[in-house]
Amino acid sequence: MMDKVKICVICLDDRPWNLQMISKAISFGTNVTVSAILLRSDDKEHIDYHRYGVSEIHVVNISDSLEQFALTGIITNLNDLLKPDLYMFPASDQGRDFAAEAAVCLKCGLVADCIDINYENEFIFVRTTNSDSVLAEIVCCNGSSAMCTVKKNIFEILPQQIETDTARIHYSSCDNRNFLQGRQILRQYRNTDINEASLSEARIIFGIGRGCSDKIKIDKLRKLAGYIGAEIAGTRAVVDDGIINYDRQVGQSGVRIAPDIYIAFGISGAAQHVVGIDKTKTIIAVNRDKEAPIFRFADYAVIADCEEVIDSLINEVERGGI
Amino acid sequence: MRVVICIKPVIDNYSTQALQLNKKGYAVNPYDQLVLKQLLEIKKKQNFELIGLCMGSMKCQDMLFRLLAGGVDSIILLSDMAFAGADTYATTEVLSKALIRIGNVDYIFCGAKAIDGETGQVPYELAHRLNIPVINNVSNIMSMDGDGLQLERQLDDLVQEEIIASPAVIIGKHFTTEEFTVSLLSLKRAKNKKMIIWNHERLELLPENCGIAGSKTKVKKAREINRFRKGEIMKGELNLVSQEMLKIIKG
Ligand SMILES: Cc1cc2nc3c(=O)[nH]c(=O)nc-3n(C[C@H](O)[C@H](O)[C@H](O)COP(=O)(O)OP(=O)(O)OC[C@H]3O[C@@H](n4cnc5c(N)ncnc54)[C@H](O)[C@@H]3O)c2cc1C
Repeated sequence: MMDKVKICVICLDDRPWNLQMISKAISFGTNVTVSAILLRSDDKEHIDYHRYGVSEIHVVNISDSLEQFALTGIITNLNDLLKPDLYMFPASDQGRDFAAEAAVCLKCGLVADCIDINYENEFIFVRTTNSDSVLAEIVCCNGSSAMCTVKKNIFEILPQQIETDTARIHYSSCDNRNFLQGRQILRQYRNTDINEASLSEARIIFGIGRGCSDKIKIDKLRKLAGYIGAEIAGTRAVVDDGIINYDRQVGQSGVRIAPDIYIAFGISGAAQHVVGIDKTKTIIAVNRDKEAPIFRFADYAVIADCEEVIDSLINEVERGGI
Repeated sequence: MRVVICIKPVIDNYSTQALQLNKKGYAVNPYDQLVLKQLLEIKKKQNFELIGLCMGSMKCQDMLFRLLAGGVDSIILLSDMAFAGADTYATTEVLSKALIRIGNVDYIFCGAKAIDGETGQVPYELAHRLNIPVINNVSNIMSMDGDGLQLERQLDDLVQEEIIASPAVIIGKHFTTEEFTVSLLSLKRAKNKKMIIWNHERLELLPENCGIAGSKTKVKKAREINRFRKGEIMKGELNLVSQEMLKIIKG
């Protein structure tokens, strides 16, 4: 299927992430050679990557205290040595930074946040854009290598393959450029405000939007939620309005939920919200505007005023029980 | 002190419907908008020069005049047919040349990402092209004076206040969809302020290094992800609809 292909996986601190990338690289078949570049101060935990099919490990010693350093020297050397067809970086903050540095220094194309990689004479990278509403296939061109950053927990870690300890390990160190000079940390503290709402376990979730956010409606909705055993969540808009906490914001910049039932009360159905409810089994939307986009993303559409619907639901529950 | 904020114009489409731009066409990318808002807040108290740098079509000018009206000192619009269709590589080629041309820039601010392309790579590539440090996850800008830039970073649940010497690229963390309000009078005055427009010649760039031609990635295919469901309308008396809903809830 493919000629000899060389892949370089840039490994940072996150071992599962590193192994996920390595596993993906190995999965391209017997014609690939995979090298791991460990950018670390301490390599002990990672030195067994050959068991997962890596044929060469390059350990580059960097000092832990540096968030940034010049990768340029290292990358040019390794690039001359390995001439990889593909570089993979984790899509973490640090990974993004290193990938950018490598792309600039080697004049290569870089595809960010990949969720899949295919090979058909060239690497084809799959990523989403526009708030997860568009799926794009992208290739790199006009460069000696392709480069990508890979999202976490997308690829599976394949079981260990090789029982020998025969990977070649090379050590080098990095020409640290101390960017910390002229930088001073004044104060550090833990943000204790962050508490995690238990939306991941809820079977039923009520989502509130701006159309259901005045006090009377919220109080009624909470009462109904109590009866039914539903958790309350909502849109970015109601978080901005201070009606619910950020940890209950559903969507692209909040949490993604997967309950059995989601009922959207007074939610318009912006793309950024809808990506967060995609995994729900059954979605019911209540909105008084029959043109509201949310209806297209729902299994059931209730075109009505949400307060009237809530009143009626409370009434039915109180009458018949649930 | 000279500060540049990079502004990406985003157009009204499926993903930006949120911004309710239907009639306006272009808006400031919400991640850039928050950084801009924070900078304008400090500018009320501290004195520095704030330049907006925007690569985009000439049609962005209305949006940019609003920024001038809102307190930005000057705008440089990088507009040229040759710049169109740029990926992060070609974008930072143009932006870095413009920043060098502007000269003596102390801090370059960018939003975390743009809501359309969502790569989040541009600020990092920019920093490496300019060979200056990059500071990410900046949740708040606290002050900017002779002692340097003081800011707050949010690293998971750790909050860190730092002083950053110049030069540096500063990357925000959050976004806002709130536009700042500008009065009609200030908008009128802004029309007298300068909007500088640079093309590839002005930046001494070869067209083949810009835009699609200068890009190192190519989109082969793109399609909308279909999240549509059946959207069955529940009709009838409200009490019957409620009973039906409760049945679904019970499963
Ligand atoms: C970068 C970015 C990230 C974002 N991330 C998220 C995110 O993670 N989560 C998120 O939710 N949003 C997010 N947003 C915001 C998103 O685009 C929308 O603005 C937001 O979801 C809208 O919230 P809403 O539906 O509550 O309000 P609106 O859009 O104002 O909708 C209110 C709805 O209520 C209906 N309504 C009004 N009164 C009644 C009534 N009495 N009875 C019934 N219906 C009524 C109206 O018809 C309307 O459809 C993000 C935006 C950006 C730019």
